[in-house]
Amino acid sequence: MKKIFIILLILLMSGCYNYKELNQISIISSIAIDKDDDEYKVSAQIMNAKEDEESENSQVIVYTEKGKTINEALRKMTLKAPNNLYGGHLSKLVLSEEVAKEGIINVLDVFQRLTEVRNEFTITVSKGIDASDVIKVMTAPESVPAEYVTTSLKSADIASALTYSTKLDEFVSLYLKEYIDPVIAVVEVEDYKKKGTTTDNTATTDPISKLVLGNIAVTKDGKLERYLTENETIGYNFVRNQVQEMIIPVKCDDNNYSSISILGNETKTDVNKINNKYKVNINIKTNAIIAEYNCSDNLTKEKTIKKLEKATEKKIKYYVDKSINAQNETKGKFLGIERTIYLDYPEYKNENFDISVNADVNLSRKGEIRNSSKGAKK
Amino acid sequence: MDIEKIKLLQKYNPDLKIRELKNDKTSIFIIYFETLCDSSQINDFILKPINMNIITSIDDIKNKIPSGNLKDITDEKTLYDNLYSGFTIVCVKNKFLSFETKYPLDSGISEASNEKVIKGPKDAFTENYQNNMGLIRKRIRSKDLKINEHVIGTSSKTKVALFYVDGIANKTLVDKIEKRLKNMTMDYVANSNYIFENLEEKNTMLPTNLMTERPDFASFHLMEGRVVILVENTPQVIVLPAFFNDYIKTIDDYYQNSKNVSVTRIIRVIALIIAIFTPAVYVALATFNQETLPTGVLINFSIQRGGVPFPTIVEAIVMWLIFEILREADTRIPFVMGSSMSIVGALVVGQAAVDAGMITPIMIIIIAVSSVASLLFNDNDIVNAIRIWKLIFLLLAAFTGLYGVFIASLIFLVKLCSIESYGFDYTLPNAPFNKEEQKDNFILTKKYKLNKRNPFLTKNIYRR
Repeated sequence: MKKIFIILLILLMSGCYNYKELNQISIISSIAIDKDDDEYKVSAQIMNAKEDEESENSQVIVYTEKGKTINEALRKMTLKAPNNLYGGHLSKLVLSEEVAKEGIINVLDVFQRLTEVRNEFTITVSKGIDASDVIKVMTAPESVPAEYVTTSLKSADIASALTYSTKLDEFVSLYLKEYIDPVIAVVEVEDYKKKGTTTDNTATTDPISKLVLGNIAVTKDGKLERYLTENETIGYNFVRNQVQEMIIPVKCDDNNYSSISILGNETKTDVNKINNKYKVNINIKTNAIIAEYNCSDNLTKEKTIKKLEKATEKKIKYYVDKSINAQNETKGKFLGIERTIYLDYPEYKNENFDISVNADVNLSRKGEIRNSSKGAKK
Repeated sequence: MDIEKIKLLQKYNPDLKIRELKNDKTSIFIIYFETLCDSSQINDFILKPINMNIITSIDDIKNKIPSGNLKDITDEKTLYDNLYSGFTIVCVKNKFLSFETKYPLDSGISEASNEKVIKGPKDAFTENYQNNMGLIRKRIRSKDLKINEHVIGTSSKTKVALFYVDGIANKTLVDKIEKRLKNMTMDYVANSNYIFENLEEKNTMLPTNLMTERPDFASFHLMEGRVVILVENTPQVIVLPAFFNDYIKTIDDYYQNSKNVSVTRIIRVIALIIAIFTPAVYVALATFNQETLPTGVLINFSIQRGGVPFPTIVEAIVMWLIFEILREADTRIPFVMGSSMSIVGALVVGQAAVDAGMITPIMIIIIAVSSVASLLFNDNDIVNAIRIWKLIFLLLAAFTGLYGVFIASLIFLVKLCSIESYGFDYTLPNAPFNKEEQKDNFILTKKYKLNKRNPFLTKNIYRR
């Protein structure tokens, strides 16, 4: 009897706290934030709307609302949406350039406070277009545009090193750390037209409007600072040890190129203090194969391979130099080199930082090229 | 070797018959097991010749009795071996002779219908008390096999036999059950179920005994040190005590490659978990903890849910109830009407309910998977216990989500550990943990490595 009473107590006292039926929630897949005068214009992409009663497919709807704060706009949105908004599956946040320049960290605060929201959505900035337009574009392979962006970011991240996706928790932790700044991914839309937001966009093999991933944008003090070029982005990924796979085009004679495919990369940064001067060594160890070879040199010769290795090493050094130049231009710390110094020498203060790092970065590079098969012809 | 010693055996072997034939010179003893021997053979070939001739010594019998299979017995061991194998022993002046008079016990014995095996013996217990006793004795031909017979039921006068192997079975366990059988007062014993319900200290949902119709299974457990209770007119015998892990084992396991059996046992454990947890976890995820689902799955569930008028928990309970009704109907229905059942079950309940938009397809999958998983266990009691626990889990999940599933698991564990099966811990050999017993637990080792018995059950732990 006592046991039954206790079980009943557990059941009834709970009052079904946090109970929500699946068909009574609107699942937000991505949120876009623009600035309109001094108000935020918040757009939310809902992914579980049904086309009609019989349909098996989901339809994507974007609701937009303005408010002094983001939360206010989101609350206002319930007037438009049929169900309660549910942020537990938020996978992408798009900020317009204006908002990002004003301060990304101000915007992120609300998402950290909402208990429902996962802290692993991707933060992106929309370049040259309103953020709300980005989440309106229909995409073909993935029915939900937000999923499209996150999955293509993930695969681009792994396969090309041309971009890098930062999740909320990583962004915040890098922001809070000393001597390092987070970066965010860039999304662009090619040919934004009204038609691109309809299913017409997915019904053709050549979409009217296309979502394109850009390179990355660097931040400083939680604000968008500058977009990186392609070469700078690759350099950034090399320095931060984020290269998994990529292709490097290398010139092998006067007119022709060959592709070096990187299979694995490890970047180690070590710091020495000599005569009160910090000397940073960035050692990049890369495993690569020849993916394409268009030159006439004999590949069976060790000399040719050595030459290619040298050329690749030079190219990687070039990328890294580019990214260091970019950091120096912005006076930012997105490469995290200062943090490496700081971790080894906690006495490191900002005052030395400009001079020592710039002068003493010493790149040594060792390459190994395996599996070369071309050039049987002598 | 003394006739008086053999007479003592009668105490534990009620089917042992000792017949004394007296003539003016000497007395002749005919000793045999009526459950093993053919009495017409004994009549025709032993009793008749003895009556017709004047017998004074063992040599007279040798000469006068027309039997092909006749042996002199010189030591005690052969005497018992022969006696327990269905030979008839003739004793004159403490000299012994044995005649083969085996009764073909297999006739009239049918195949086990509820406990199927792929390899292994097919014979099953019948309603015949003598046959059943013989089926066990056929497998354990030892004088250590002791049978204590009781008569229970003031009107039914049902014979209840308690089997145990002396030297292996736990003496306290035997005494305990013996005492309870003696004190049992009942008017009528319809089935073995009547006996064990009175034996149990506490009525638990999870069964604390094994009911089997397979004599190989019963004999196997006798040799493990357990006790078998045979009830007249019942084809199921009771094996005591039973532990929770016994329900994931079948006798078939020991007739197959041990490596493959290990996989099967792991599948059974997974099935047990699926059977209890799936509906509860689904309801918890779909109504409380949506954030734990992958996005694609959530959208899929959400689209399916659209248009269904009932809350998820109502759907789950309705589907659970419909399945249980179908299962019960399937058990009771005559065999010929079985096909109409499956049409109703598959078409009406499955397809039509989904088409009408009353039930989500995913809920049908969840209930079907969970129900099929619970049918893996051939003991009806454990299937029914799983059914109730499934519902408890489901209700707690419906009120508090994954938190409720967690509470339900705790309640289940506490309940499981608090059960005592006739003085033994129900969760043996996992809690208390015994390393030796893990050879025959979730993983089955090769048979030649299983050289020790369960030390909790018996003190005589060495098999060889």
